Amino acid sequence: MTVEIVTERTALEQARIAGRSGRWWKNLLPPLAALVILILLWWPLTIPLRGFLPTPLAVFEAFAEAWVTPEFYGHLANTFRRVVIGAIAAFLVGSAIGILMGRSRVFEGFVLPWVMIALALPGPVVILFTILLLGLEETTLLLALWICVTPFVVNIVYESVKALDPGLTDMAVAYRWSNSQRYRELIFPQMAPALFSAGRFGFALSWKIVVIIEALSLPNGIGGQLEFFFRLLRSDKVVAWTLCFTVVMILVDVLGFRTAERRVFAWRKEAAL
Amino acid sequence: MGGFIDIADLTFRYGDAEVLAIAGVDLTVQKGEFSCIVGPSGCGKSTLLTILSGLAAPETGTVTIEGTAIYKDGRRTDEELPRCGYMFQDSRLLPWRTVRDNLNIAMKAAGIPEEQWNDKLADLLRMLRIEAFADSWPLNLSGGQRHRVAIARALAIEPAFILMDEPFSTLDEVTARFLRTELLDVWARTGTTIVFVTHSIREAVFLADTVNLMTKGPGRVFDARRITVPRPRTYEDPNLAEVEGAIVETVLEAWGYYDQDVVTEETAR
Repeated sequence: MTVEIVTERTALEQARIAGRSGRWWKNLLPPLAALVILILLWWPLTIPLRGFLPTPLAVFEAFAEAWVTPEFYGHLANTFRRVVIGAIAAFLVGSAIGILMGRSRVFEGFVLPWVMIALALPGPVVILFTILLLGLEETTLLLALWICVTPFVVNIVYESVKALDPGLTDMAVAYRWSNSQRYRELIFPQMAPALFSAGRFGFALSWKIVVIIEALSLPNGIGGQLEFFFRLLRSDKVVAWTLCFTVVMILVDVLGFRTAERRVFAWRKEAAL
Repeated sequence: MGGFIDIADLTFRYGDAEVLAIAGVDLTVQKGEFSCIVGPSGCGKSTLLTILSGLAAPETGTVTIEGTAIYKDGRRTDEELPRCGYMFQDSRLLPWRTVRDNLNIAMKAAGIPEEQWNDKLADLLRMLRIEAFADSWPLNLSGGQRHRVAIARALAIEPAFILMDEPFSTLDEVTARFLRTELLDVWARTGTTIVFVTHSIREAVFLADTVNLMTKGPGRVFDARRITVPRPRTYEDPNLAEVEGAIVETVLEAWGYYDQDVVTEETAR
């Protein structure tokens, strides 16, 4: 009897999965509609804000022009390198601190006030003080970036460690799992959604902070160029160059984070969750 | 004393709590025995299992397993805790691992040689009639099948004994009855010592060689009844019903239900 029940459930779930994958247009239509509506809202706004807000067409022209300029790729590479280094450093250190905070009460009590203060610190204050203390260097930028992003990663990871299933932990202790087994088979799989969330959030935040730092101090990056075009009142170029890097960020998200997520969470689809 | 598991004067409290969770438990389990512990909610019967498994340390008391003291006068000795299988109220399988992986991970942690994993897994799944689900995901199984996998995991590690904490309490009665029969079948074949906690007296007398009765919390074992009704047992057996009735009569008094009735009558007057 029980075998039949399982067969029914599995068939039902398989049908649901088939239904999901067969409707690709349902996945594509909403974001396309969102983009079309954005452009439809944007266009009429350019009439009262003429001179400040460029038309979608002007942005598109500046966008097409930027992509074929060799110097764009130089600035892009500089900004991308800083974002990647900053995000990875913040992710690694932030995850380690978050895990330790969740696993040790003493460490939690010691680090939590620092994290709370760091979360409340405005990004520009951190950037300005770091520049004042260390000067206008690439390492200054990376340090300021790391200080700004790490607390957010710590917070996400720390909360996920606190939410670990105590029942599974008891099971692992009762069955005498080794520490490496507990982390590999129990802790990281439960934390995976939060780790992806921390990685994605850290990456996006790094881009926002890097642009500010570059605009304030370093001309050889997208942020520096945005500040340059802003001074020239070339709003079309400001928006176009921002969009260029946004495209890169979306590509990283789709090809990097989402591909990795699909692999890590492949079991969910097979388990018909 | 002189059993496979000997517990003497065991007490335990959670953290800095004023009230003890268990107070002076004495218990003996013989090798290969199916021993049930019955008590009301909050009497500390599950706590007793957490101490036996090494999940928690007692405040005072001695625990001896196969003649080796694991806890002596409330202190953990240097002796290695014997390997034990543990079945919780829920199956506690890793949902992101298949049935095969769940068992393999447990066997790896227990130090079972890898070349034995496949044979052991096949034998156990066949014994528990879930061999078709070796590569299934736990979430695709019914509750009863997940419990069978949990039993297989407990047996896979070649345990010195198995602890079961109300493992069938979340299942419907028909599935629970079916699984109890299968568990007895597996127990008879393997000869493993089982300590089974339940709040159901009927379940205890159906399964057990010995039913240990606990007082209200903070609990201690106040009576150990040997169940001599021959196996295989049926739920409809009048002898079993008689034993169950006698135990119910005993615990009604021990758990203070008669006193409550008196209080209620007095209050009503």
